Amino acid sequence: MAYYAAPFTFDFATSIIQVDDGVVAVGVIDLYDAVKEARASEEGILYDAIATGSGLVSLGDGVAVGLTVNLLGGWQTRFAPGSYIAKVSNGNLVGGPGGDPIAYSAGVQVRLTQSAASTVVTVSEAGAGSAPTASENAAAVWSAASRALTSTVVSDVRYVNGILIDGTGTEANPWGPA
Amino acid sequence: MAIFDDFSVSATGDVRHVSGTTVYSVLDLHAWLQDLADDAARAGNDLLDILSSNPSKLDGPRDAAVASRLNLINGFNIDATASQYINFGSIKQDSANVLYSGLKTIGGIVSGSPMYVVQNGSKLTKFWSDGHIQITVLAKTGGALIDSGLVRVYSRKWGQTYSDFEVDLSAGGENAAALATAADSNITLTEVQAAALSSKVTIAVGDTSQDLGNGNGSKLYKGTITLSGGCTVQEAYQYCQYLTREDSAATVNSEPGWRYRALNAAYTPNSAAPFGAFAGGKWFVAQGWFVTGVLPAESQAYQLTAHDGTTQSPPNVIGITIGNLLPGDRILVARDDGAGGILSNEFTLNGAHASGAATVTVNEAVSADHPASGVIRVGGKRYAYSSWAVKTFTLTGTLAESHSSGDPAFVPYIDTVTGTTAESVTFVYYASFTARVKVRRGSGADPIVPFETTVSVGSGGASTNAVRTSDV
Repeated sequence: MAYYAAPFTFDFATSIIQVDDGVVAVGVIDLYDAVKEARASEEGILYDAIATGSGLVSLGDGVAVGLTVNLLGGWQTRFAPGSYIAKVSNGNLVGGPGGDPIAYSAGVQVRLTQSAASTVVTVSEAGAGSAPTASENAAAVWSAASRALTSTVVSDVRYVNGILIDGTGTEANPWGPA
Repeated sequence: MAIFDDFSVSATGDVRHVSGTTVYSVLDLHAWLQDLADDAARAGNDLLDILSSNPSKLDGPRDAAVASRLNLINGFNIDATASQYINFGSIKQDSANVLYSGLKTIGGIVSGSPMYVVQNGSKLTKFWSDGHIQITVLAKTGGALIDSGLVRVYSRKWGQTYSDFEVDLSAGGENAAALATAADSNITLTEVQAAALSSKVTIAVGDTSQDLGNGNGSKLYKGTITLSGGCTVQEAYQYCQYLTREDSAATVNSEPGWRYRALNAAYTPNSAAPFGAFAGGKWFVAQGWFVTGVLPAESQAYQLTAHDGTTQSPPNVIGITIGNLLPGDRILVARDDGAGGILSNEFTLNGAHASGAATVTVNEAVSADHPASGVIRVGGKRYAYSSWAVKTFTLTGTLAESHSSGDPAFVPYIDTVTGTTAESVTFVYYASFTARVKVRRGSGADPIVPFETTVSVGSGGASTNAVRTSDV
């Protein structure tokens, strides 16, 4: 019995969350989203809950307490074998048998980024957070740059510093008097 | 008055009752006849003296404390009228070709309970008062026992429980019929009111095979009692008692209601209530009768006994309801394994099951308390079934994969993603058990912390509400 929620495969028989081959960085928030989906699946509801999550309490201005996911029972996360350094970040991943949330995988070093005071900054999409997203920044620049293209600018090139420029621009009749 | 005032003896030996209402014992009769037989001369209407033949002799000891067995000999005889005034013993006459046997009733009865005696299918004409009786009954005539000497004494008075008892009078002497009657508190109608129920209760004799849906399958019954028009079970009981009371003019199974005892000679009759007793709000219908048309509210208010003698109780359909749900929640309700999980190995597959199979057969008998249709999990895979019988589930589709012999299987009571705010299931109550309830919602809006609890499922079913705690 298994359930797949990209990039995770939940093997209920072995209590392993297998990370897809080629995926070297896992966000804890993404992991927990997949856990919630898996445990409410047709297969998953037959088993105990895979993990619990805590945190994400709003501190205001789009900042929240970081997420801590506690793997229950014998559940562990395992990366595909290979010679690389995998990363688990964007929250705390704890629990698992013996307090080890990561299962051994040949050749793989896993860097768990843990923090006792982690926070999550929510970007401002939909006005929810304080920090603009990259796309929001780009849009703002584009909007400022193109504003003249779509707006009427009040100008009269015949005047400089309020003085009417005359002449034809020839030596006989140069621009002036400015 | 003395016995010689009440009886006469003719010159040819006819002993006849001529006056009075006193009932004399057989021994009194014998003593009187012997007293006459030693008289020097006949007197009055008692034409018996020392010159006559011996009129009587006792079979057995002369003991006033026990019933006497009197032989009227040498042509002396009594008739039916005279026999009504003689009791406490038996009288043989006509060279033992005629026998009047003693009959009495004993037992705890309502004071004044009327008795009637049925001999050879007919009621004897009453010459006795209500209450316990002590009489003589003609058991043999012309040298032949009447119905083998058998009589049955009944007491069936409206408002009382009934009673009857068969007695064998062939041996003479005095024989006792043990009867018991009591006020029947379940009779709440008058006889007129009960009679009016004929429009609501139909009784038909005839074989019918019926399945109560209690898991015992179809059973043979020998008759059907159909209720209609809002008739309650207790009313039907009263109507049936009405049909079988002493004064009944009804016919049940081709015999008069007043002597009807059972639908089949092989059945053990219920003397107190020929159609079954009513107690504790429930009608324990007599063997062989199937009852239909019972009001939904009284679906448990009766119990049948099939022709094969098995007790058949209507199924107690109960439910499990899970509330406080939202569309999209996944719910699982299954038997608890007693160790914090669900009982996922309730059954084991009987043989290998190939992918594409349309049925699932398990090794264990499926108890009645499984939903008539629902879901069976085989090796964790979810399959819907449309029906089950004994050990086989008929799937609505087919197996999506092969399963090995012995693979575990179980039947959840609820196993679905709800589209509403409550989920329920109904099934037949068989025995109480503990169910484990899981409600999960992990994707979409408003995920919740997995809710899990257990509920005790008893004869009244069970229900609980999910506790919705928002998940991060």
